[in-house]
Amino acid sequence: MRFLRQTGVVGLAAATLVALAACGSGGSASDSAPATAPSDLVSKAKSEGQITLYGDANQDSLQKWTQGFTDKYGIKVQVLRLAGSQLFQRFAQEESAKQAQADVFSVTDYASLKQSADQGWLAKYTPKDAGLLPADLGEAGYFYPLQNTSNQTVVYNTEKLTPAEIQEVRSDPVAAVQDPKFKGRIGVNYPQSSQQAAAMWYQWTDGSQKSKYGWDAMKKIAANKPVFASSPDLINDVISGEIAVGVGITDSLAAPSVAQGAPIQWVYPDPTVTSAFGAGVVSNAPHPYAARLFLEWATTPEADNLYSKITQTKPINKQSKDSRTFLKESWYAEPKQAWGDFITDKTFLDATGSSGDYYDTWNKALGYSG
Amino acid sequence: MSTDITSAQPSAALADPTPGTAPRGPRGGRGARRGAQGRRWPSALSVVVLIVLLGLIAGPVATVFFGAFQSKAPGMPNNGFSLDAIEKVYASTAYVKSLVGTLLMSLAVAALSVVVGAVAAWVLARTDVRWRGLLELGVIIPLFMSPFVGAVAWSMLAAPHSGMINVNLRWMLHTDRTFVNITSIPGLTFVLLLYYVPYAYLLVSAALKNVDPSLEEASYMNGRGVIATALKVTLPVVRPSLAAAFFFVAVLATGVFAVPQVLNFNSFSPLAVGVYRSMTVFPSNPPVGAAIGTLMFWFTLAGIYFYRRSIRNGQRYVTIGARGTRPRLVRLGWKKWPVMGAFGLYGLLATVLPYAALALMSLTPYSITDFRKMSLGLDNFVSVATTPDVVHSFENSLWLGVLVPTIAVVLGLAVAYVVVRERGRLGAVVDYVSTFPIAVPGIVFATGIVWLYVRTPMYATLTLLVIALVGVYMPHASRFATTGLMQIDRSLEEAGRMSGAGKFRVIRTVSFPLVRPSLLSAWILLFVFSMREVNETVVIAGPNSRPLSVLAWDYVQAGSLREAAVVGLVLTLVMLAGVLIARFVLRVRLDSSNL
Repeated sequence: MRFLRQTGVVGLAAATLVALAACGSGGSASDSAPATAPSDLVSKAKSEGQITLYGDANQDSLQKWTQGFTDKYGIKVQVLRLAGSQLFQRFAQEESAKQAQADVFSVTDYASLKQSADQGWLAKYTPKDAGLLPADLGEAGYFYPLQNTSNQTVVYNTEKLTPAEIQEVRSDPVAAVQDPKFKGRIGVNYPQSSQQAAAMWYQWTDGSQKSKYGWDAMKKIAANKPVFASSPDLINDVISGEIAVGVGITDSLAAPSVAQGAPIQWVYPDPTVTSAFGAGVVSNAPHPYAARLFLEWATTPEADNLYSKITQTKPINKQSKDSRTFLKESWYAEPKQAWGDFITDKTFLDATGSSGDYYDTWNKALGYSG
Repeated sequence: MSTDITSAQPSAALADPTPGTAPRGPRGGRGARRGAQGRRWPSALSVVVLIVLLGLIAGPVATVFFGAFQSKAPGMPNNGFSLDAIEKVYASTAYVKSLVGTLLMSLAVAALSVVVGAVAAWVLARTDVRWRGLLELGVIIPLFMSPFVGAVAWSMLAAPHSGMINVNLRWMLHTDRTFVNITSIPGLTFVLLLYYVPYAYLLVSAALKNVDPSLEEASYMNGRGVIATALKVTLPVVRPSLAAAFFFVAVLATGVFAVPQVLNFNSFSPLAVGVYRSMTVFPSNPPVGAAIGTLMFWFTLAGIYFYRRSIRNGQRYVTIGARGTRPRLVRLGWKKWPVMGAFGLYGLLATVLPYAALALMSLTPYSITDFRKMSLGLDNFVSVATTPDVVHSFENSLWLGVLVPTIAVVLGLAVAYVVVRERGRLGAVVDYVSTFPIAVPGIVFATGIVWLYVRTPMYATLTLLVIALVGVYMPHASRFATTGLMQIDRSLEEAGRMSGAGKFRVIRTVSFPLVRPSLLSAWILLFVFSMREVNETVVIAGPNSRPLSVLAWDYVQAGSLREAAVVGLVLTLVMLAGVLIARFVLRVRLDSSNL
């Protein structure tokens, strides 16, 4: 914790420096942005007229959600959606070169957000409703868990499995995908696609489920010749029936398709892996007022209700309502346990960091060409 | 060979376009720039052109090489010199499989494209097949679709379990077999083939049209049959052009990453996909991407060497006779039906089926491939139309479609002028540098551009996209202009100079109007390319400078394939509109006659 506080101070200092640099180079609006009164903020934000949001959540969901902000304030939101690591790479490069394109930066990977705050790439800003959000999922003053938590699931196509097979997948999805009867019918989301996906695999091979599954399980999954795909491709494959079972798809990605009538259901592995999308204002944002107004809006119960409705995820704002429609479905079961501490788990972070060999080992075990 | 006096000079120029090694014709001395003491000085124009080319092309490539020796992406904090990436790529076996797979795949795609393209070119140029215009259009129409959009369509059609072809044939024929599998090595080769056949066709067809038909006539006179004449006379004469087409396609196919990425290809990881993944997949390692890029570079450079040798040899056989001898057209008789059937099949696979699949995808609410369960609606169109980015992306695409070809063609003309008319050692360098970008895979070049410009105000703007694409398309633009300029007798320009006009006035009032048809053809081809381009733009475009093609790619990456299909269809319509305007307003045709 002391480490966090120290880096926070360093981050703040860096943020101040960056802000000063931005003022020096003619950033007209960023001079006093954080200290503006709410009414002033709205008018200044409106005169900026637009923001650019970098996000790695589902493209459709982000688009529909941010439309709520546009409807309320008439400020356009341009969404750049890329995979988390690609987005962070781009963001880091732009921030290092003092070329901010993004106003709001939002990814699910806590390490990326933390590094952004530490480097001074995220501005210090505390929205009015910050207290309504769970404190452990963000970094107070820098980034907040704006969008809801999402959990890793195993999704299956109900038309491609027999009732007995559905039963088998539901009782233990990780054991089921090792069963030779699913050969050629499964797909997996590789750990490289996000920190959360990496945590899911790590938990089975080296973490809490090591004795139950371990690397032997990976060999059996490999023998079933899985399709390797990022989660957006994987969910399409399950829906179209290209594969019957997809491992490593978040419920927030699967739920909107269920609502559209796609023939899929899901089950949570036990324990599942959970994390939240965090978001913060970029320190030298091209539209600093509009970005801050967005953060104000996004932390309200109203915005969380909207996001919850679109993505069918469990709301995290204390005052918002749970509007998930699938809760009433007969097949749905809440996750029993969830691992969320991987964001600070040192052995996990070392294994999956740039000097760790987790991905190479995984690639070899599963037969993925990288 | 039937050359006459007026054509002697242009064909001498055609005989060897590389000025450094060109044997000087009788008028070579007069064309050269000489200083007061009779020494050769490079002209101001050639120096300016070289500097511009170095900035456009050599700068980004050098940056990639620099990046391969860094510990992080250039410009990131705590970055320094490191050999890790180079060691990982060059000194380990990790990329051997990728390298071998990539090379075999490119060579296979190139060989097949040339065979198909050459047969099509021969049929269209040498037989009495009917509906020639329509058939030629059928061959080149795949140019109007971004290859990755075609890949999206083909994975919808031929994914092993859920592809439309497999799903519907299964219930129709009461079987559970898999008829086609697009995610296999043959599948990937097939999709790439569809999009490279037009290139091979255009290059070979241009050569066939320039071959003096009297050689073939002589062969027929001596009693040789159609096949024997084609194999013993026509084939040897166009062989250098076939080789040129082969190496050209091989080099282009080496750099393609979007198609294997979309097909979710896992038999091996093509090197270009390796570059893309190193830059994008967690934990990203841009120096490794750069190092893979340098590895690819050596092979594509070899390809370019052979390509340039081939076009040089190709020109040696070309004669432009003043006596118009039309080639004898082979009468196909009953054989015209199977021939037209083959063209029809190609059209079906390359155009009809992919567009039908895209149209169906754009109308379904989620991935539905079973015709019995289809439910159609316009939701995807509404969703795309209400996306705030779409109109903006549309504008960006139009800007790119106008600016890139225009600037590239003007610069291409300047390059051609220096190469063809001024010659000299500097001309040779200019010639080489302008061909260089073909050797650099798009994504590698784009990475160099981003690293080079990230600290400038141009970063993430449309201007940077224009700069990048002008560099990328320089070989195409200068090839068209060079070919056009070589066919024009220099004495016309000299007459202008003698009458007291300056160099630029001569270029503007004499050379430019004469090469106008070649330049317009180049313009229209580059218009299509810049509209559909994604290999470079996806890396360079910022949130405000995304063209439609990148928007479609972003949709694909986000798994919103149906929205991508909508954008893909819109993009094709825009390209078709542009080509039709060119055809009927400017009277330019996109065919091989000016290549």
